[in-house]
Amino acid sequence: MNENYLLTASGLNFSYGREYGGANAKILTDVNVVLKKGFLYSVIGPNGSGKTTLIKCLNRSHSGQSGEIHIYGQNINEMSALQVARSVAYMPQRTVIDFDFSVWDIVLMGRHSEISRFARETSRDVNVCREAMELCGVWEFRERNFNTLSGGEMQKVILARCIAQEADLLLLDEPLTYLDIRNQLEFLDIITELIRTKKVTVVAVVHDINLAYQYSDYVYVLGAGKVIAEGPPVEVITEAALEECFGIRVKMIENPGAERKVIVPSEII
Amino acid sequence: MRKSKIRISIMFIALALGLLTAMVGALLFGSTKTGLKDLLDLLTTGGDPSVATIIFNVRLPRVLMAAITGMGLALVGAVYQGFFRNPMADPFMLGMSSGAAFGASIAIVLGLESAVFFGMGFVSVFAFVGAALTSVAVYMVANSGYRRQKVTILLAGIAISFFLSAFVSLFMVFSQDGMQKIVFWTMGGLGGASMDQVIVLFPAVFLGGVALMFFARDLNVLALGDDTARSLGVEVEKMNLPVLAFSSLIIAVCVSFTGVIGFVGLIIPHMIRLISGPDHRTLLPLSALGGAVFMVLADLLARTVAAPAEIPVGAVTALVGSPYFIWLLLRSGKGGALK
Amino acid sequence: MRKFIALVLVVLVSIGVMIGCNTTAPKGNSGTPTGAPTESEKVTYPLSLKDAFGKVVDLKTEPARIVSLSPTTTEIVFALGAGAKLVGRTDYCDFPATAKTVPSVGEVVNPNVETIVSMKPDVIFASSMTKADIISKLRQLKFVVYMEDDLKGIEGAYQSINDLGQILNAKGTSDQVVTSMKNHLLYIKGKLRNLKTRPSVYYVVGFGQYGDWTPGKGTFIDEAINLAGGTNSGAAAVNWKFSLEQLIKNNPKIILCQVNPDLKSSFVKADKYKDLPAVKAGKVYSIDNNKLDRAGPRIIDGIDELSRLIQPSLRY
Repeated sequence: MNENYLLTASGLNFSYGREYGGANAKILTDVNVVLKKGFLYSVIGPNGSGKTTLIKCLNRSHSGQSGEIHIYGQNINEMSALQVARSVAYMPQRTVIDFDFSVWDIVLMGRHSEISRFARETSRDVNVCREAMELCGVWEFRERNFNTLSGGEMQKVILARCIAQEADLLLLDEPLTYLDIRNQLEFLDIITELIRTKKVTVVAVVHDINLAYQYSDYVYVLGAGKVIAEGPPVEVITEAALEECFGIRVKMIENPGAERKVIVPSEII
Repeated sequence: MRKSKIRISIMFIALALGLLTAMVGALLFGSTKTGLKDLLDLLTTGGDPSVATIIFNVRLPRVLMAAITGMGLALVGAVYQGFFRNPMADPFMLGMSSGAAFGASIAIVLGLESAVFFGMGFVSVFAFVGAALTSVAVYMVANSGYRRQKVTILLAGIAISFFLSAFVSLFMVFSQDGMQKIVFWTMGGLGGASMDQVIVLFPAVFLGGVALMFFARDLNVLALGDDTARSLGVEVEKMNLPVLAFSSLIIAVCVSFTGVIGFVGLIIPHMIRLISGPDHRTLLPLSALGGAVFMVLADLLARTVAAPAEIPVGAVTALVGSPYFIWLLLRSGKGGALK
Repeated sequence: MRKFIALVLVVLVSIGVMIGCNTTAPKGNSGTPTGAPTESEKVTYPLSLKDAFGKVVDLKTEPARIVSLSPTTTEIVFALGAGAKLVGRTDYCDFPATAKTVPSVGEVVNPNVETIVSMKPDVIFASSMTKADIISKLRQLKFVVYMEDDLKGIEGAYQSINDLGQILNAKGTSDQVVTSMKNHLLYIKGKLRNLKTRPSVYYVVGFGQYGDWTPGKGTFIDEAINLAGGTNSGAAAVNWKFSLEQLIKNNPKIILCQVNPDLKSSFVKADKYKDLPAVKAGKVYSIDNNKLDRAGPRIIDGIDELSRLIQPSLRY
């Protein structure tokens, strides 16, 4: 596999077999993904199309039954969890913590793969965390109990933790779903800034097609476990494609505030 | 809340000193009036030899057993609470109390009580084997099931626990004199403590404890969830075996000597967490110290309050610990570390 | 699988045999190991004796301070005239009444080791009810611990009385006590020869929501009931476990209720029990079970009391 690519996944198949307590339903079929450095990818598709499963396969939370994933040319199955953690950061849909860790504690956990087992955090670790928290606007919360934050603030803290990991790839599973509109826009601004300055790659599962359309560089459209379309948003997110994928009719109208159009749903087919 | 380093250091010193004081105090009080004066007499003029027996051969092994057992129980309780992300976790949740009772009741029903195996009572040996085999069974059942979920381990523990408890009930029903002995064994107690037992107990708890400390940072990260922890570099599945194995070793050895003493493993970690925060790097050792102090004092009360009758230690720990814990919860204004 | 089970059994049996053989040969030449009474000779020390569980017990001199962890041995100590030497007893040692003035060391099952040590006993008498780890601890502290077995009935009582007679240098007294017990038993047996009827007797150890408990065949009380001129209505009990159905079906003529704790008053009023014919006929009696449960000097008195309740027409 080509070392120029940050991550390549080919022939991914996955079903929830007995060991996952499932009934062998096939979730992903022959999925191929190629990720380059410094871009924002979004993954869109109807509920149940396998988006979260795809993310979890890419960071080896799940092992696909077949197919290969390579990070910088190295097979992910030959890497230890620590090695994977140095390249790939992951943000789950929800974070629920049963104990009273502070915001600072949580962000510092992002440095887990860098700090050796019995060592203390170094000043570099502290600086990286601080920078990440300032970028996300949560530095002021550092002493607060994580569980006392609002949903939006929590997501930004988790994002800061992912950034603190200094991984080249950030996998974000529905990061915007629980955020209000202002928080959503702030979040996307942080991500675009991050990509611009650090040249990281972000893959975000998104439900809001408009946001995907506005912000991403490249879109993967999933349907029933297959990649039914991929490419720059303008090419891929079309009225016809959305009709086929989601079963709705839309109108794409001119957007006075930005280059790309706005997608407005008109009826269910 | 982030706890300052100074506060943590103060806690360590306070608990260590507290433990020392408690242990010395426990040596000087008991069901008889033997006390400091007698000890001094003994050391200076060589007074009454039974004083030496009482302080060094009766009280000292008991105090050491209490301290080491308290350490083990509280430490494993803290580990399980972090490992299973369950604030209600306690060291016996994986069925080890039933396994130990099962082993002990077999020995009692077979009349092997007075038999001795390399200096250890048969009942203790059987209890240990019962507890150890239970944890093996739980691990194997969980491993062949829905492997990714810790819930499976818990469920396996509960199921096996019920199964073995049923057997213990059967044993009790079908053996009249065995029943009383089984009940007394299960209630626990440090009355038969001897240095032979301490020599076996200490390395097991120490070894297990040091090994578990190894996972302190991983336990912190586990609080974020298995998927996130994995993404941060924690080998979540690979932790299962060593954490469970070392925890089981500690609990099996403790329970085989002292019976089932509840409350300590559940509550001490919470008390410590309320003051020093959830970071396992400090929570684990502080819990161990806290558990030791608590057990030494609880055993002291158990053998002095209604002397010469002995109150079961488990009853003392619950009676004394619960109100204090409730007070701590009320004082901290919220549910503390419990959600 | 079968081979495995067989192997495990062989290992367990071997361990059992090794343990059984691991007792050292008795030192000294005075006193026979089984405690069988010889003529009333003065006991000489040092003395070696096997207790009811086969453990060899060595005494260097005549004991002056005794701690008794068993109500049975407390009774024996007093019966042998050595009551003044008793320095510690359990909460349950209630006979004779003077025993209650002796300081207590706690319960029977879980006595307090420290208190026992502080009493500086020369010999400790225990029973199978005492927790094994307490007994090991006391032996580890180099105390002499003699264990008696409450389950061995009349023969056990004779053995314990003889053994304690040897241990306490009271062989004359112990011989007398045993002889008088044997005579008493012969007397009772004589009275009960040629019985016309042997009424069925049900002996209540427990009843009600926690189950029906009665001594079955093979227990001492079953034997005692037969000796006392009755038949045991609860003979079919397995490990003391019976059932209300069987009790009703067997319809015993006489019902005896333990008095420690008192069962009779609640038994005769209890639902379903109060309709038993024996209850309606007023043939429910309380019996002092301590005499029968303790394999000690009052065990024949217990049989005597039984026989008076079971065969009241026989004049004594």
